[in-house]
Amino acid sequence: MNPDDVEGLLRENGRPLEPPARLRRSVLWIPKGPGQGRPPRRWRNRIAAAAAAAVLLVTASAVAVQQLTSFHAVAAVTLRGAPGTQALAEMGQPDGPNRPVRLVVQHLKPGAVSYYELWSLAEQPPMMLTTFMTDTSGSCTLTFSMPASASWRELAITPEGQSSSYLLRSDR
Amino acid sequence: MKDERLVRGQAAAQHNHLTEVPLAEAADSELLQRIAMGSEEAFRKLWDRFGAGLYTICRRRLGDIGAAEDATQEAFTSVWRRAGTFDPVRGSAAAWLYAVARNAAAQLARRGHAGASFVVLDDQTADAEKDPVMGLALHAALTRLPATERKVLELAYFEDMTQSQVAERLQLPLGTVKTRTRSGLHRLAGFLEDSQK
Repeated sequence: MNPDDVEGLLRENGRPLEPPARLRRSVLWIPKGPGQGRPPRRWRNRIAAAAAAAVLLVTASAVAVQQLTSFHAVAAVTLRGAPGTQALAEMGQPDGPNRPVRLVVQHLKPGAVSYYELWSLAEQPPMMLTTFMTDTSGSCTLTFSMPASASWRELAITPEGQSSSYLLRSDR
Repeated sequence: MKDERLVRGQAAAQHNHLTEVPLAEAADSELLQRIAMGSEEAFRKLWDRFGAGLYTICRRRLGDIGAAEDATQEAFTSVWRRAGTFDPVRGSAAAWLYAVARNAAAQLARRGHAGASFVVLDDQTADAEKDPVMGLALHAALTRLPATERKVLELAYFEDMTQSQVAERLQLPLGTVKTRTRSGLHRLAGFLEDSQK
């Protein structure tokens, strides 16, 4: 190899490309152990995609929860029964054939029955609007839809299968 | 991994104690041998010499900047882990490093083939213009030159300047430019001969 050969090689090969500074940092991290350096690009992309998906999921969930939990009552009915036991039925604005209802029940005797029934007594015959179960304290909150055309002014809660045995009843 | 690094580090310390050649003057093959013994300094020096060249090879083979970065990183990971498999009897350090980079690029292309946004050039296309191993060795040898000589050669041969233009650009006497060019070319020739051994 003589200087003339080197001249030819220099002209033929030209200047190498300059590696990005981040690549230098990543490479020089390698001896410190795997996993401490910059992950390869495909993993960066996957991590970024997963993070974006998580953000989207959280946002969508928040919107869905807000929609489910946003309830604007236009009327309310209080149901009373044994001392300390009460319920509140809040009526929402009708949406087409349905009217949203939020029912809050407190201190029904827990474990007495497997489930309870909510009735509209103003309908003839009485109309069962929903069934529900309580937690260990005898309480629950549920949202459901009832027919917009049905009356909500006279309500009662009965044990399972005992439609005339009112545990709670609205004031008449 | 920690234990392995400890053992390799101790081996490197012993090796450095036994060999008095500074890293800056060490041959490429000696750098690989030191890396095999756990020398992070030698690994850094190897990056300084071959980082740009290997990155250039990966860019030419893959076409995509991100893919080339990944391939270069994987190549250097292989170098760190497998430097002990380098056998100077079987070929030069540049040839071994070129093979490592080519394999890293090929593996990356195979793994990311579906939906890959980069093109993979075959060996003949990628290497048709020149001897890639010699080019790699040349770029590595350039980094070993004194900065004053390297600058003169880069302007003259990479930017196609005449010696008078180089002298004007660097505000040096023409004679100094000629001297530095001559000594730089001689030194490069020596480095390249060493790298072929």
